[in-house]
Amino acid sequence: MVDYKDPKSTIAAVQVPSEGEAGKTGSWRSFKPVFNPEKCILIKSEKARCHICWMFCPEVAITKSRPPTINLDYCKGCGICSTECPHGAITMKKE
Amino acid sequence: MELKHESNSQATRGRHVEILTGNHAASHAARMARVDVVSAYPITPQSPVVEKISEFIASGEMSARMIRVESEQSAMASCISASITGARVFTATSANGLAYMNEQLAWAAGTRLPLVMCVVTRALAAPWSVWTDHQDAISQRDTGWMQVFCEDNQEIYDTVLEAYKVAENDNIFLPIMVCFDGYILSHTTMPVELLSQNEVDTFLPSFNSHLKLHEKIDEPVGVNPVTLPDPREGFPGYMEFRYRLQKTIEKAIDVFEDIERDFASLSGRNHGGVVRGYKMEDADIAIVGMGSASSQAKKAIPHLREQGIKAGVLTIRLFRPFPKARIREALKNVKQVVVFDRDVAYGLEGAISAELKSALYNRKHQPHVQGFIVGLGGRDFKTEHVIHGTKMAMEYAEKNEVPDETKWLGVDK
Amino acid sequence: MRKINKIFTFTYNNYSDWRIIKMASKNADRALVEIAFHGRGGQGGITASNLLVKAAYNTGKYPFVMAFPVFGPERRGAPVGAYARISTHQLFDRTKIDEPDIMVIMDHSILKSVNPITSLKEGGTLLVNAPGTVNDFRKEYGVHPSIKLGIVDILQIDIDIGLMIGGNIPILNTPILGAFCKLFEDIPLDVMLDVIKEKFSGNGKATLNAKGATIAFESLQVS
Repeated sequence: MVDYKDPKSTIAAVQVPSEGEAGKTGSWRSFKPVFNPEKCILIKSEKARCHICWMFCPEVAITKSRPPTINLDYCKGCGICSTECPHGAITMKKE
Repeated sequence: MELKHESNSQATRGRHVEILTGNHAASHAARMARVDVVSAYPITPQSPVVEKISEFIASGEMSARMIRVESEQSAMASCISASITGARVFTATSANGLAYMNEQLAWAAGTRLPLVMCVVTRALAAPWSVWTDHQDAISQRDTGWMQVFCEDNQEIYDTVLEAYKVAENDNIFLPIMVCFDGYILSHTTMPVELLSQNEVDTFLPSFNSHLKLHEKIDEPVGVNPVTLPDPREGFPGYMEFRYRLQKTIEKAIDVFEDIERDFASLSGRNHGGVVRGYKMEDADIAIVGMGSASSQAKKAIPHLREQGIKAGVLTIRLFRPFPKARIREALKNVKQVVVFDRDVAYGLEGAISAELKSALYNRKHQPHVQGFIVGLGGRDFKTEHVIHGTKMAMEYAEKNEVPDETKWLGVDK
Repeated sequence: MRKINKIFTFTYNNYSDWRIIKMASKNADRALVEIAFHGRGGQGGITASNLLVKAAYNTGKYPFVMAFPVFGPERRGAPVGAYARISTHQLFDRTKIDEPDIMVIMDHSILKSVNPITSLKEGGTLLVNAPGTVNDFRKEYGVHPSIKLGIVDILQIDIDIGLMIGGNIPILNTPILGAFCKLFEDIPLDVMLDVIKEKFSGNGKATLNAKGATIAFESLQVS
């Protein structure tokens, strides 16, 4: 943690990326992403490379795993993953 | 630090002396400072600085990496990136090239990167001019960079070395511009005494960065994220960073003087720290200027004294941070101050005279200050101008007049 | 177009008024020598001025020296100038040299298009690379009797000893520096020859340049 009262911490602004910088943002959500494994290319083929959802998620709430998992504690419900998934494997559902 | 009364830039200890242009003096200093990365874009009259460095790299005398870029903005961006990783960086530019860097200059200062940049001063277009004045450097004075102005080629060499030591000081970490007059110094050869590489290495140990991103390859960090108006848990606000920048640059005056002392004991040469006096011991009138303007004023002193005018010259070496207290101290016995600006803070007056007045305001001793605009776009600033300007200022002082409009020597009717 | 010209003349006239204020004296800088080189771009005037100040510095008599070209863009063939100041005292002057003590004309052919000789100080020294005799030259160009005049035919020297670049461009600057040493005795010829040899040590022309300088030193006519 940076102590901003320490003069050394105000030399230059350096931020170490970590999850939940702004607290548990999962409570901000109106729509939540629902993952459909049947449509996900990563499940359909073992050789497939995709993880577009992981790459686009601005909150780092999707894991780079097979299948990807969504951490709803931090997911803000922005829907970018659902828009970007080329296979339609993520749909947004009302909370 | 005591006001130094004569500059001492003559060869003293039988070291190697070369006859160098101001540009090449800067290149030699960069070579001996063991700079790691150089990135610059050519512009007259700065180009020979970097051309010489690329010769040094080609011949193996220097092991720096030269990054070729397509503009000054990219040159400064490359310098910033290199410096963040912990490299010692050098660059140089002039005039519109410096103006083109403006946005990146603020990033460099805000990230507190100890870059050293030679600004070979030249008039800002339009209209186009390749000749000297201080407008380019002066117009970047509020970016958070330190600025030093040099008067001869020896001072350029020495100042570049000092600049690294000041910029990389643990309590400073700020970028610095070493400014010298285009052509008048940049293309004029003068004897320059070079230190030995051993001496430079002792004076200037390797750079210990406050960021050291090269050591953090596996733990990525974000540099300069959006910073909120107010501090939040664990992270300062914008104002905290800017507060620290200002407090640090204020401290730089003392640090600069300490380093000047170290350099003087090493080299036997003393450039006077942040301000330098010439015949100021008994002066009633102080002529104030920077770079070539102050040299020329010194040339006029014997003529003025022959006519019974007790004048001396106060050279401002460090323009940013502006050494207010040192200037007040140096001017405490003079009745009058005449300022020659090779620049204009358009819509106000010459930048030096405006800042000098602010340094004297609200104080007990307030000598009469009269500024003149001279030598823009490379026009010769002659000894006659100094004499005439001083006499004009004396008339104003006698009549207790302070004209609001600026006075342009040689152009005013 | 006419309007622009008018603005230019207006400011220029204004500026020239400045020069009416005459300097009190130059006594304060008694040990200051100002030298002007006039030639064409590419004839080596700038190199000559640099070698000259180096030699002056090496004599030990003039610890403060500076050499500079006419500031601005450079063009091969155009009449250009290079200047030098050598002094026993610290140099503060950063202006052009308007009235030199010594003037060197690298090539007499430029006198057809410009005449810098008029700016030479009364009692000054003039060194010209020209064929013919010194008396004819003084008559032809009306050189003031107070001026010490030196004439040397460097083109002939270059042809005689083969001091050329690529066989057809004569080298003027090193011989003229040799002749300079005869007119200005504060710089001995051997000091100048050392500087010339050091400068050209890289390209194998050191001896030839030094030879040219020596011949010019010996064949200079002075009046």
